[in-house]
Amino acid sequence: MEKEFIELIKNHQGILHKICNIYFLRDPYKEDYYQEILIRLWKSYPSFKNQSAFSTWLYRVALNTAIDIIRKQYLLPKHTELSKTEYNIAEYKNNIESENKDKIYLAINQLSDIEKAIIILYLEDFNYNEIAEIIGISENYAGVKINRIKTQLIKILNHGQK
Amino acid sequence: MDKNELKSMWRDAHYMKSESNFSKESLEKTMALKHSKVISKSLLDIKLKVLLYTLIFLIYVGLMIYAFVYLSLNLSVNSLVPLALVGVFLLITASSEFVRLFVLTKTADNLSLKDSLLVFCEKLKRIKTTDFIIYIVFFYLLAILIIFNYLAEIRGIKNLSWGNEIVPLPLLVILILMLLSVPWFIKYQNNRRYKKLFLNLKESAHQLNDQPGTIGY
Repeated sequence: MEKEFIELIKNHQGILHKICNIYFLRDPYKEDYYQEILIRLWKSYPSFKNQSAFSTWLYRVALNTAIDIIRKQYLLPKHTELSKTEYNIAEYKNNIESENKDKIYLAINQLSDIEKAIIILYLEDFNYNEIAEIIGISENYAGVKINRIKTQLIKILNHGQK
Repeated sequence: MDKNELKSMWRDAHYMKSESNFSKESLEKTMALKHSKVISKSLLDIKLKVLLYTLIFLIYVGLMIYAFVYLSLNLSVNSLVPLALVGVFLLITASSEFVRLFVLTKTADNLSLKDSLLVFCEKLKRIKTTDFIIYIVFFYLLAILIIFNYLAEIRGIKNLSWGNEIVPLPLLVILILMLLSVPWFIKYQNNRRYKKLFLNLKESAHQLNDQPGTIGY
């Protein structure tokens, strides 16, 4: 099972990077949260029963974990002991902001946690039915939400804020 | 820019973009961990706090049992009150850290985002309610006990007077009122302490509420 999981993750690592960029774009602990998502995926893997595509299952668990990490940060004491150099924040920030193509990440970063989840699924070409299933809302409502979020995103991209 | 350009912009953003990928070895290493480094550290801090506060509380309870049961120490209300308050403080500190640890270690990753939010809210609500009931029972019992002891010391309700020498009645009334208001004060403090979390949950619930009334947070 371990080998199978590693192989699947190696083929889908891009998804995890995208989720981490969306939820922890400027967070110095981004790499650490990437690891946490990976660990939680591994822990949940026995429950993956091939009823859906691996990527659908992966998105559901990874999005849940990312949102869970954000929620639980409010309960955690501030972790200031880890040195900033360990994660090389400055270099990371420069890389992100200097690249024009990362504009979309900066725009998505202004959305709420749930909106981020919905829009990444839309941008990754999931259909409304799959999005509704992962998020847990009706298909119609998923469509309504996607439209609203797209309008918001365009506004942010054109004017710099919501 | 219009809505249809979003997808192409997203694709462009990832075209030829190489993120650092994990090797098989580092994946295996990560999978062997319980939590990532920073989360492990935070959890360890809380576990140590829980252990420390529980230990102090148990030592305190042990000392009290030793004093009152083994040595048959007989103290007045004046001396009992501060001792009881210290015990209460230690109990509250230990239990609040324990609750925090419990919430932090529970997950529902396999569910849909909405169901997982519901599970989290339910858990939090249950903990908040249980906590509040425990505090109510504890502090109200303590208040009753103090009144009972006080009446026993002044030898009955008929000797109740404002200028009592043991403990002046106004002081006792203030103390009782303080004890009765402690659970409400703790509730208020917790609401303030976790304000950001509650706001986040409220926002998420609002976003996911396709059938109004299904998520109430």
